[in-house]
Amino acid sequence: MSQKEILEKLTNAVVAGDRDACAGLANEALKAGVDPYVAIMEGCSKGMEVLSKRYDTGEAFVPDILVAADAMNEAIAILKPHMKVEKTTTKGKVALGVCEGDIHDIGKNIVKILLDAAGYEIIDLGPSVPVKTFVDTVREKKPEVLGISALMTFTMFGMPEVIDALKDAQLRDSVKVIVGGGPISAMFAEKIGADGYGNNGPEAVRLVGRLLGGKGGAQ
Amino acid sequence: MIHFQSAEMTPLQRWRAILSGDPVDRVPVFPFAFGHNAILFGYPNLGDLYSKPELAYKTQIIAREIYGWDQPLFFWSPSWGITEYGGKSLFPYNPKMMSVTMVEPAVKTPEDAERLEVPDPKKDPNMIEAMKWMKKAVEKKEMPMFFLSGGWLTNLDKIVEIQTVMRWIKYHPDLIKKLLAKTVEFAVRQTELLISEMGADTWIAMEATPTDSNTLISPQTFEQIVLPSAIAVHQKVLDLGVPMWFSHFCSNQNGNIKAGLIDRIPMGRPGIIHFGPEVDLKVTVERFGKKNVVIGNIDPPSIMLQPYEEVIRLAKADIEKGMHSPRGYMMGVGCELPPRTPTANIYALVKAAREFGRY
Repeated sequence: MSQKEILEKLTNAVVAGDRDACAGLANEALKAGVDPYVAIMEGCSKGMEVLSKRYDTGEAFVPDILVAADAMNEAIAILKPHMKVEKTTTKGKVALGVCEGDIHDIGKNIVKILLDAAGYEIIDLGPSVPVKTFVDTVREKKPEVLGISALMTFTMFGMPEVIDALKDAQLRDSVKVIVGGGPISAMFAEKIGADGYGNNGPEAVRLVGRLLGGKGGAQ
Repeated sequence: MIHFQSAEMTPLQRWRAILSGDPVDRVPVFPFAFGHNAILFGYPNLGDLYSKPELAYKTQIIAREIYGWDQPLFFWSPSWGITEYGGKSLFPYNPKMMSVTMVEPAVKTPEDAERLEVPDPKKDPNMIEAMKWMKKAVEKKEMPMFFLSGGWLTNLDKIVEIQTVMRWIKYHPDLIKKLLAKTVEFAVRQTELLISEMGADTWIAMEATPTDSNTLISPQTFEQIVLPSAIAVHQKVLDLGVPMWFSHFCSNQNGNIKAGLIDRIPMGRPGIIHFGPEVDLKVTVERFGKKNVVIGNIDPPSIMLQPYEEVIRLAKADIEKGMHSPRGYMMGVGCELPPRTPTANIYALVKAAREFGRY
């Protein structure tokens, strides 16, 4: 099989969420001498990109994204140990978390999967994150973007609390804050002084790309 | 002799008239309020509201008196279909939490799923306590609603972690169907118990289904995985003599509606149908209004965040779309009323119904 064929099949296997095929093709890629970084970026990530577009247009749904990510990770686990270190640089560092009191993290996880596949380094703070943890993460791990999600009208007010706490800690200018989730709107994002709002996962990826300008590149 | 008393119907009269298809003086208001009732009473969090049926009962009655809304009384087992199966839950005593949360699932593996037994609600003290208070409402002919826990992925995600549910839809679809069938059986047992205590035609079955929306799953998945158990639980409960369902089809259900899937779910005569704000109320009226009482769906964050005048405008728009729905309409909020909604904005709903919703 040629490199082009392997990459195409890898893309298709990710889109189909076929873990066995992904594992087989990852091994095939190594055997054929395909650069593992190329296999990940032009095979696996491309698959997630295809799926992300379908999700955006209502042709794919959450189960599709989750099983595609499982398949992609199957391939990455095989390919990554063979990667050269200098090629593991990322497009940027993004910290993601859900407001305190809110355990609904499936939306945040979709954003994480798509950003990860698009080449960003992710710091996943998980669900129900206290304001202090968001602030400490920005101070200590220095992400370029902080993504905050909330699914409930009760918890969405954690977002302005985080932004205010970042201002108090004199960290607001060091990070772009983006928000999303069921009850959140562009108007709310603007009102609380966030740098951007994503209506869904693919939109969040495009937003991060725009905010990071040349570094992240538009998706 | 001068009569100072208003000729207005009472909220309970309005509610019962809507159910029986009789005329009402004005559009009734159904804000879908739960957590707000605890805030109204000065509770610092929603923990007691969700764990103590007595408090839920009392706060609903007083909130209705204060606001003059027409929402019926809701009841639920504080076990919420979580702990009955052996899972662990967390009540919202953290002031930032809005609902009861499953923190440890009863089912983690396919083997757990195969072994899972349908619980007996009679053995659940929370259910017994909830029934005690619901019975008081039934005795007052309130025609209350009870949250049943079965038939939907939304019920399943109280037993299995939601991302596992989403993955198993792809990896183990038959297992998901099997689990859904177990939840149907549980809801039927809940229904039988309620009927044994307070009869069948004195209350309404209730459900809310966010996990089953097209925000998460496709209409195809809905049709193949969810619809059979949704139809089964609805039909079985109706066959037991419960007159109708109130279904809050939460969030984006546009794909399911367009594919004709919601139409296939038996709702009773009439059903009571409520969609999230993602669904145009005009579509709901046209598609479901002949057989169902339609509940309005004003955008919840707007009710909480917008000024009073804007809430009046939103309520008026909801009334204009819904008030001539053939089998009845109640102006409503598209999901739970945000608990911290300003009092004036809730009053705006009732005021708009009085000003723009006269029949």
